[in-house]
Amino acid sequence: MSASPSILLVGFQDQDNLGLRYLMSAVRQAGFGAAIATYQSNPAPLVARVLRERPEVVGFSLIFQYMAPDFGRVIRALRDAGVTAHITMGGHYPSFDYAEVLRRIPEVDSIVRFEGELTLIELMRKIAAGDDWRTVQGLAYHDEDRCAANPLRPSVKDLDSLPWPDREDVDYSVQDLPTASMLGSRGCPWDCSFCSIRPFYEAQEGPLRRLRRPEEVVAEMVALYRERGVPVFLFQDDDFLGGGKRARDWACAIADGLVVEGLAGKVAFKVSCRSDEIHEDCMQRMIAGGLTHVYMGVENGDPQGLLNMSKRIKPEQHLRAGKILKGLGLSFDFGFMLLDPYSTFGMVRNNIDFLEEFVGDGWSVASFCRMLPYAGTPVKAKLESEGRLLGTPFEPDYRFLDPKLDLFYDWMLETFHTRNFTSRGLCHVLKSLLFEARLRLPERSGCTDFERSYAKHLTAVANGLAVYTLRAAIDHIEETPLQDLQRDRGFLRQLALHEQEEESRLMREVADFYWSVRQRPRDRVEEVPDVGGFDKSWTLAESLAS
Amino acid sequence: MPNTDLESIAQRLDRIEQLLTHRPGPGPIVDPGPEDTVRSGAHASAVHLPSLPHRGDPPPSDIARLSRQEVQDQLHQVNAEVVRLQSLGKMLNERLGQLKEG
Repeated sequence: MSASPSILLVGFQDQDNLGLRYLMSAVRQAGFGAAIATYQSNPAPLVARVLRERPEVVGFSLIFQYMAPDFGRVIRALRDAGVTAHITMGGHYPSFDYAEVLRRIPEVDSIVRFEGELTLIELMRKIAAGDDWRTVQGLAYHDEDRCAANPLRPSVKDLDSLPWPDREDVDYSVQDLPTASMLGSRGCPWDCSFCSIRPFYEAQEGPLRRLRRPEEVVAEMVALYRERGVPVFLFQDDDFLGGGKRARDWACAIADGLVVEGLAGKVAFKVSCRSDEIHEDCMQRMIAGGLTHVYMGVENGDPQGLLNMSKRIKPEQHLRAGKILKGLGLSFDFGFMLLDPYSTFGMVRNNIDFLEEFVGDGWSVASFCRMLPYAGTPVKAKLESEGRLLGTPFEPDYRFLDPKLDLFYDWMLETFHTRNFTSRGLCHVLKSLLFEARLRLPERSGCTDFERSYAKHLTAVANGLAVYTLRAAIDHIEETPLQDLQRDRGFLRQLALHEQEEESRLMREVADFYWSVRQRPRDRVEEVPDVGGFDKSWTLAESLAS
Repeated sequence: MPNTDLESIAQRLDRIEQLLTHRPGPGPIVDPGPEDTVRSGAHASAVHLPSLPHRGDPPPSDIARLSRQEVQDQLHQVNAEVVRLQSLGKMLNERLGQLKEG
């Protein structure tokens, strides 16, 4: 690494942040110095580092739309401290909403829109040569009192032409269970209404999904295993099995490659996909290569809800996929939106029933949220056209069609926030527990059949309690006139307290069980500390150790 | 004579009263946890098996006197225990099925 990097890339480091690491390797290969700094809301460490190292460019990776104001504050602190470096920004949100970001954070010089490697290299070259960087394709910037955006460049045709992501500064050896993220492809062929992945890659008019060569993917995994001691891999591909038989053959080729390299039983990996892409024969081949966990974009359990989301799938297909995965003993998680802008009471009820049928047995953790109209998504455009888009560009909001559902959602968010969305909540902890209990790494997983069974029981209780609480709330809200609900919240308040009390009780049991399996000192059983919303580590053990 | 009869009756009433008001000494408030279902004998995992609910409150003596909120609260607690017990029952049934299969 250069002592005085030409670019300092700043972003969250969750699950390696491969977006930043691909950028770093690309600019380094092009001959520039580069380093990565972990984003923090406290600007002081970053300001000190930038003043010390004096990079020519500081590049921010903005993943979460709602974090934009926070990023703005940090960037302002850099300028206030006298930093004159070129400040650029990239990521999904600024790619779509570049004008809003430039307007609200005027200290940003440019925005690298969509796939960033080639645009950033060209920006670096222009700055190094003292040329006008405003001519760079794919860049947005201030142009006097307006925002300008240059035409986009085509996406990278051959992903294997890019160097592997630079992981030089990641110390996997300190991790309890060394885990690396991987990217075998980019893009997704599906057009779900709530998702911006397809619009993101479609903008550059390339193929909807590009695949790396399986042998290249395997070679990167082999290197990480042999040279860095990493046995667990999390594929961050948008849809690992998206694209029919061709995609399944590709996925199986990666698994086969791991077997040929002698890594079967020594490494384990996780992929994300749709439930209608779960085919038993393909799963079995992938398991032979080390598949240990699947994340499924289930999203909804109501036929009309799935139709509204353009998921092009039926609830029965979700159930069928769950049955296959359970039959194969595979651990899985899933995304689920209990409410969307077009929800009715009937649809919410169906979703609750679906959750009970799908994971009432405790095989997987039932967590849930509502659909959010992120930048670049079809649903955001639709809500806008209907005059229903509220909130701010950074924090978009909407009201449900039935005001009583707004009341239900507000209550649900308050009641289940810790459980569903924080690293100290039941969902996070149980997901970690189930993942490790079913980890297909004989050397690493010390769980007995009984312990796996008990972890499932704890999860079933957590799911059952949530389903009961949600049902009780929806029954009460539906049968009570809105005016009465607004006047008297006693029942809902009591229900929330009850749920939280039961969660606390269950959490104590879960923590006790977890540590007894891990044979950790008993004095650490008492409490799961809050480690914030963006855990670098993703296992509970690491959360507790940090 | 009458006095003797009265004393006798008084003694009988005392005994009846004692019987009626007799409270047994401390005993098991809740059922013990189930045995380890994996194997008989000592096993470290046995400590993880859940005990049956500790909420040993007796049914309310007069439900009619509870407020609506109190009844709802009791109902939530009962339903939470039902969820726990159903899950525990499933776990034990699964294990029983495995044992039956040999």
